Formats: sequence, structure tokens, C-alpha cells
Amino acid sequence: MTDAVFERELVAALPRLRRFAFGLAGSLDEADDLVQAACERALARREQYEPGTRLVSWMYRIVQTIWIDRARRHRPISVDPATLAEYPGGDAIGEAESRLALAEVRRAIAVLSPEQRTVLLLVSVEGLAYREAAEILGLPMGTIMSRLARARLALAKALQEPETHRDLSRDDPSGKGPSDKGAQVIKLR
Amino acid sequence: MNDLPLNLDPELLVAYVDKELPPAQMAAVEAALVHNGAARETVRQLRLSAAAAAHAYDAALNELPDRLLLAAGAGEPPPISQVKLRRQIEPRRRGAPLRRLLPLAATLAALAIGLAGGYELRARGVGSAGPGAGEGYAPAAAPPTDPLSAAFESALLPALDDGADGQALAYAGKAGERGRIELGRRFSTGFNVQCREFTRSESRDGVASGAGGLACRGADGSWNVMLLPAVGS
Repeated sequence: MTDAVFERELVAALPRLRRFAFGLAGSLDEADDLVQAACERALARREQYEPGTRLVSWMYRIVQTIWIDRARRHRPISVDPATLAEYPGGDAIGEAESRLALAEVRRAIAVLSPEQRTVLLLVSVEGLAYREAAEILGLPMGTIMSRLARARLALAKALQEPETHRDLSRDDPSGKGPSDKGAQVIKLR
Repeated sequence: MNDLPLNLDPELLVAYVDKELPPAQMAAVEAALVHNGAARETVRQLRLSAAAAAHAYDAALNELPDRLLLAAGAGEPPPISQVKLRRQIEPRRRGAPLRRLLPLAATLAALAIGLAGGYELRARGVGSAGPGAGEGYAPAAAPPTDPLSAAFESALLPALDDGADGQALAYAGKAGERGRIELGRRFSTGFNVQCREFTRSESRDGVASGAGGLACRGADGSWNVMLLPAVGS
């Protein structure tokens, strides 16, 4: 694989890596730090990449490793949901509702254990097969499945019982305090 | 098929929901779910959370910051106009709407001057190492090094033959950059060369630009494409 092709595939992988890093770190700024560091490491350790394997899988692993290293060294793994970024959408009302709903989802994922969160991100956000996630994380399939199941059930529970899981001392973008959303929290596309 | 009741624990059910089980097991789980309301509820929860998570971080997919592009080795994006364009060629008349871009005189001038130096789009089985490789497109000039330009070529080439006048095509790069082609009229020049006008507008890093385009067929059937940046761009 030539350098040019390697770099082109690295660039092509950036949106997915950034999305994964956003899920791990909880903010886009931290995500960009992670992805930048991952790119630098990938270019520095280019010879470790096995041609014929998927570059993006190798990069997911590097992002995750750097995240773990940093968290271990600097602070306990925690995420500040107040820094979660918002994004532009379509119509104003629908946009506000889906923004709130997705921010709610991100908060719920942020309080999962790092192990559960990582598997959930790789499988249910990045769309990887169980086998791919297992290879990236160096875990047996059974561990992937049990962490994933626990993550998904915890997330579902959090989304259906917002009052018990929301930290009311954090900033509340709706300004209205807890509302009785019942099972209608998520507007699914 | 064994007769023992399946233990429908969450690990099995998540694999069922995610279609990670072999077909025989999928069928077995499906059959067992008929008689197990609690497991069906678990399946519902597992589907709900998957759907909720899937798009929760989509914000990260848009508008990559420059520092990531640089870190990945992308460097500066190349200038929009890929063509070795002679500036003597008449740009569009100031104030003329973009879609009536090229008066015939300018078109013929462009042909006479620009054809040989134009940018070739050619459908070919074997490509170069550029981004078009493997898709059957092999630019004769320097291949585009950025995804948006490659996407432009891939969108334009089939449309030149098959697209209707006025048809608009959208394309996008890998980092949120977008482009739009609007197909114009076909015509033949005095040299019996088949041509087609089009316009192109692109947005990179929030900066919009427009260009008029002209594609003409060479003798071997390949398209030569010329881009005339709009006045002021």
C-alpha cells in the first residue's frame, strides 16, 4: 500500500473515528484531540499496519487505546454531559426535539461503564459485526455479547425512566426540569 | 433441531436482534419468543436502544476540523478548477445567471483553445492509482487527490450521456464538502464535436464557489471537461 493510498484511506476514515471518539470522550473537542493523536500514532507506526486488513479497524483500536491511556493517566473516566455538542438540523421544532432526545441518549451512554460503552459504540454506533469488535478489542465473542446486552438494556432503561437517571443539578437545556416523557423520549428516524 | 427449551438470556437475544446468529438459531429464537412475553419485552428494549444509539453521535460526521485533515496527511485541498485553463477564455458575462453560462462564441473559443489541454474523463476498465481507480474512470490529467473532486467526476461522467437538460446532481466528499452539478444543453460545434454545458457549485469548508463547465467528446469517445470559474470566484 503506497503512502498516498494509506493517507487517503486515513482521511476517509476520519468521520467514523471522530464519531467513535465522540462517544468515548463525550465532547467533540476531546474527540478531535483523540483522533489527532491517533492519526499521529498511525503515521508514526505505519509499518505495524497489516495490509489486507481494514485500516479503519486498526484505527478504532488506536483511538480506544489512546483514550484508555489518557484516562488512566489524567483522571478517572468520566464524561461531562454538559459539554456534549449540539448540531444543526432541519425544522426548528423537530430539530429541538431530536436534539434533546439525542443529547439524552448521549448522556445515558456516558454513564455506562467504559467497557460497556466501548462495545456499544463499536457495534451499535459504528455498525461493526460482533467479530470485528471482538478483534479490535482483543476480547472473546462471549464478552462482547454480554457487555453489549448489558449496555443496551441499561440504555433502554435509562431512556424510559428519565427522572431517575437524569442529574438535575446539571444544566437542563429545555429549562423546564423533568417532564413526563414516558416512552416517547426518542424520535427515531 | 433440539427439543430443549432455549434459554432466552439477553446475550442470545441481543445477537438475535442484531442478526448475528446463524439462520437455524435465528429461527429457533423466533419460535421460542412466541411463548415468552418477558423475552419479547427484552427484545423490544434491545431494539429501542440500538435505534436510539445509532445516530446519537452523527454530529461528529459533519465538517471535519482542518487539524484532523492535516494530521491525517490530507494537506491543503487542491484548487477547485482542475483544468489547465487559459485565462483568455471569456468568463461568464457579469450579471448573467449561472445557467446561461457560455455564449456560443466563448464555447467555440474554448474548444479551439482548451480541448487539447482539457481534463479528460474516460471510462476505462483499468484505472490509475487515483481515486477513480476501480470505478472505471481514469482522468488523463493529474487525478484528483481529494474526495470531492473524485465524487464530481463520478457524478458527471454518466450524466453527460444520460442526464436530462436541467437535471441536477448532488455529490459529496468524505468530510462534509458538497457539490452540485446542473446539466445544460447538448450541442454540436462546427467541427461536429458533441458537447454539453453544465454548471457546478461547490462548498468546501463553508466557502462556496461556482464554475461553468463544458464537456466535449474527443475522437475516441472520451469526454474532455473544462471548468471556467465564475467571475469573482
